[in-house]
Amino acid sequence: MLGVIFFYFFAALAVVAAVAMVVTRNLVHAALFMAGTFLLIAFLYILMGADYVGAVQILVYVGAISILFVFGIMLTKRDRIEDSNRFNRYGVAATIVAVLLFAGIVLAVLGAAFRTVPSDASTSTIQTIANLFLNEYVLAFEFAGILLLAALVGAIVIGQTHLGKARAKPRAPGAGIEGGKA
Amino acid sequence: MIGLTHYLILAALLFSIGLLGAIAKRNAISVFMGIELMLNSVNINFVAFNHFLHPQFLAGQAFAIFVIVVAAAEVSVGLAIILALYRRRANTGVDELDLLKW
Repeated sequence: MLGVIFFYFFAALAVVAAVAMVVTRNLVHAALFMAGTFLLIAFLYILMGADYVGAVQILVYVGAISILFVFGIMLTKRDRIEDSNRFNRYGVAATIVAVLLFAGIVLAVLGAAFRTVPSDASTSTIQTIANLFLNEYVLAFEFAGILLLAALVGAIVIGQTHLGKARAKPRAPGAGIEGGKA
Repeated sequence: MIGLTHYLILAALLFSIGLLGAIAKRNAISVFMGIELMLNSVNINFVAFNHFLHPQFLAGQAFAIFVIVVAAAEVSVGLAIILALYRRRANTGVDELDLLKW
């Protein structure tokens, strides 16, 4: 079964990349591991027959959000990039909480009885999703557009340089290159 | 055969890893990465339930796309907030950003 091999391959790689994202001490490496995790999750979507969601995942997460994170890392200076992604003092407690949460979810999933139905994952999903968006979920669709517009305006307003009077330090003339944030 | 349970357990594992990154990291950008991973694992759940329980009606996939839209908006505003904070405090550690803590 090719699907079984693909699932375990992508799932194992995604988990390894996610763990590496959390434990690495270099923030840029963490961003790249995050992009890798998103790409592998997109492959898993396509494996489930959700080709449009997989394409959107690659476009939005791998293409846009990861690059935005890299920009955010590059625009905030820090002492040493090799030591920029440390755990805080709750590392052990957070690990215990995460393991307990995982165990709880696994117990709940294994105890549940789902009535799965067989499906043919051969047809494209784009037409069905487009019909859903423009008929049944048209209100949510429009609100998503308004939300994106509001987020765009909000990001520009929050990210501009002359917001308020207090600053960390007065900027020397000719040094304000980092003013225009995307 | 790969069933619904496999995908749900994978999503739970990724969610736990994202939770660990969100609550145990010192840098605000790293905390954001953990939150993004948690949103992604929830999307895996949506698509998996859609694929295995109701393959004809694609509501789960439409919902996953809405989650992606909200996550994109959240990341753009959140990174702008982090940049504005960095410009004022020259710091992106979440432990130092305790202005609202009494």
